[in-house]
Amino acid sequence: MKRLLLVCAIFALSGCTVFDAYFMARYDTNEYALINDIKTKAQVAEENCANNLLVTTQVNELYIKSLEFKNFATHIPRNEDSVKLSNKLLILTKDAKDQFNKSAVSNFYCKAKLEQIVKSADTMQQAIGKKPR
Amino acid sequence: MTPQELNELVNSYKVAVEQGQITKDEYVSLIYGINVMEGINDDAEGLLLKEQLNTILNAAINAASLFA
Repeated sequence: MKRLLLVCAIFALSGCTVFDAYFMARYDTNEYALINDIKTKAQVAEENCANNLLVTTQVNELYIKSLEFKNFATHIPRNEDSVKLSNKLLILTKDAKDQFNKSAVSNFYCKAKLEQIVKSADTMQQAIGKKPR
Repeated sequence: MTPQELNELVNSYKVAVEQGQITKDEYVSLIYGINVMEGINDDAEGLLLKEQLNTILNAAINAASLFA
């Protein structure tokens, strides 16, 4: 019964969905390494919230890494899903960069914003890590 | 992250701004971040579904090739 439902589900999907899924971009070690780097750097920065100057430098680095991730993912064929994710992470890190560079931020904000980046990067890492080999 | 977890975060930010732990500017930035996170969750879910479909298709093709 489960198999029948599965087959019905596949045929119910549009041709484009099946095509996209079958020919989707494969797992890329560099892509995975970049998102892992962003997550790790955000975790390290979170520990330095007491030092505003240091954490601002680290947040700037996070923005640069996110831009690098976006640039890396952009021209890989059939990689639109990763590009969409990288664009959103870039928005998140840019907002953080702008806020941290504007004035000294509160400890709560520092931890909360970096936690948002860590959680988002973790969500992305899970999805990117499961790409087909 | 589940919608419930996101709601909990929003509530904690609300409490923080009410207690003066963060400025209004910071509060706006955090809420904006929550919106972006929701988008990331949705896109990641879409990618995971596509990956599952890819696995199913490959298994189906492999099975079919065995009978061919």
